[in-house]
Amino acid sequence: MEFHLRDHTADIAVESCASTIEEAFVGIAEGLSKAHSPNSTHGTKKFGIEISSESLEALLFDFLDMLISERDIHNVLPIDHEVSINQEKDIWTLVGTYYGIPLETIESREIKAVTYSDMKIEKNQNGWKLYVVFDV
Amino acid sequence: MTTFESGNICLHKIEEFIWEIPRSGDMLVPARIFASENLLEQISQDKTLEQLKNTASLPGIQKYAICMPDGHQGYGFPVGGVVATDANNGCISPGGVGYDINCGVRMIKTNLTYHDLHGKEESLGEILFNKIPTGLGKGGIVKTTLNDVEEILSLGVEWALHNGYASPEDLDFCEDRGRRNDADPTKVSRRAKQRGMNQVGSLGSGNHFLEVQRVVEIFREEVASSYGLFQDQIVILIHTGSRGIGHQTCTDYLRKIEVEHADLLSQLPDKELASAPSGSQLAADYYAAMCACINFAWTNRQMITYAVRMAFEELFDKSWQDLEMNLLYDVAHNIAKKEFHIINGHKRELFVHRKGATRAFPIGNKALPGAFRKVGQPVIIPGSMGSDSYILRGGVGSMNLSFGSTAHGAGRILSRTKAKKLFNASDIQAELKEQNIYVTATLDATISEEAPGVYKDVSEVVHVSDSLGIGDKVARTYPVVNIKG
Repeated sequence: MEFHLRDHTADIAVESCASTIEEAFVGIAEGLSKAHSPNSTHGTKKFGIEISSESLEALLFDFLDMLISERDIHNVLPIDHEVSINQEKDIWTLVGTYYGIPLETIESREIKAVTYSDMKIEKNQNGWKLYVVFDV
Repeated sequence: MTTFESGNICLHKIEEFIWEIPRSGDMLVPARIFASENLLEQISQDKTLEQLKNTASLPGIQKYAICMPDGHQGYGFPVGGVVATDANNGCISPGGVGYDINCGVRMIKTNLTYHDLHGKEESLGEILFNKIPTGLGKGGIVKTTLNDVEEILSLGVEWALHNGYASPEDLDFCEDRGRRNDADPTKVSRRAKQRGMNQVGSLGSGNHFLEVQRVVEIFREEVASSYGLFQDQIVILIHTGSRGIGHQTCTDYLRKIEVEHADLLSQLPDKELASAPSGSQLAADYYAAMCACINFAWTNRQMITYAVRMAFEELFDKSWQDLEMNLLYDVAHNIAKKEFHIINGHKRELFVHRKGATRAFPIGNKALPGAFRKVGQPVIIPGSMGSDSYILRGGVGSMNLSFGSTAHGAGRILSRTKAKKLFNASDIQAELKEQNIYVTATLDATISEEAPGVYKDVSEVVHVSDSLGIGDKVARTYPVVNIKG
């Protein structure tokens, strides 16, 4: 899995490429962590999340929205993500964990929100390619 | 007729500083851009024009989809966009407000001159930086419970007044007296409220800042005098919004609308244009939730005002009342409001979406408090940290041209990534210090990303506004001390 922060006029975009959809989701989440704080490495406390959405695109949106809101509610930067994704009929479910770095211990920018703007979820012969723009 | 080509979009010059994209495809109305040729060249470099065209397809849109001279690419709607839709037979769109509901600016006046502050700039910067939480996760000026947050969502600045953080006069000099009566805290999710609990009185990061400025030029003496502005005066500009509670509320409703009004969304060219039809339960719920977040943002700026007053008291050893630290005005630039406007000779109730645009009501407008009804409302246009800011007054042309709106700032031209490559934070700080501008930020990256060269020329933006008569120049200010997240 690899991810990159990409240019956007006012905001920040993250691109992630991976062989599985789970790894690709994790790549975007790690990119989100890097966009907050480029040098942060490991969290101390483990948190669990579970999300259900009506499509894969909505699941990606809801997953990233959840991480941003968890950040403000628990006052930690989510990092070191793990996820599993399942589909049953029209419902996509993500169960995951992350570690939180207490925000008072790091210098971090604020990412306001995930957006649907230019969001891409593409499957090709090498695996998955995801692209997400975040509002800064 | 003069035209301007941008990709497959052709703009026609209607008159000086007014460009029009004629109706085509799904557009229900034409789109208009208020810009000089130079600004239009910059605006056309990203997807602003395409996004503006897309907004022209929103149900119930009236007259034109409008882009202000500081416009740039946003998500769904361009930043600098004004879109007015029929409140009874149209729609309301969270994307037309933006994630940072009631992001806005307020200005605090003082009776100090630059001479009084000169030599104390670094001390003031340090005191302000210590008193006002900046950046992420630094808490708020006050600790609040969920119950407090609900009261703030309901009462707005009145909550600050009841708790000793505001004076009664502060309410007089805030748009809508700092309270939207349409607010309903029960329409804001628990998760959003939890995000707000740690952030009452916090600046945030990104382009948000607090700046101590000096008045360096007066353009309309009579208006400036009625606003209480004078040459060399020290004023303070606060730029922030509703923080996490607004971001979450926008996200929550985008998702609800996506699910419940998928039929409407499927007809729109961009998912970020998700809209609830006028009269639907979701339109009512979003409007009530948005108004609650508007109240939160006004209270947030009020709490920072309180801390600024305490900082000045500490530095000058005088009470804030003795320093005459009264509000000039507080104006929102990410907001949607029900307003009455004249359409084809008839008075119609509209949802006026201002996404990176400022209300600019002129002389005589009955929505303005008495003091401003005689001259027009103050409009505060922040520049970048090394450049001028402007105080305008609502222009008489605004009601006809722009649904009572004008620009909101300089508008970015460079991405954050490019800015970091081009500008070194220490160099910027040193250069600004040579110009007697003292900048303190939580992150070096923020200084690079918000460097003066990253933004359009705010003077040109204001020149367009003034020339069109939608926002008239009153005074120009210049930075002295700037703190950022």
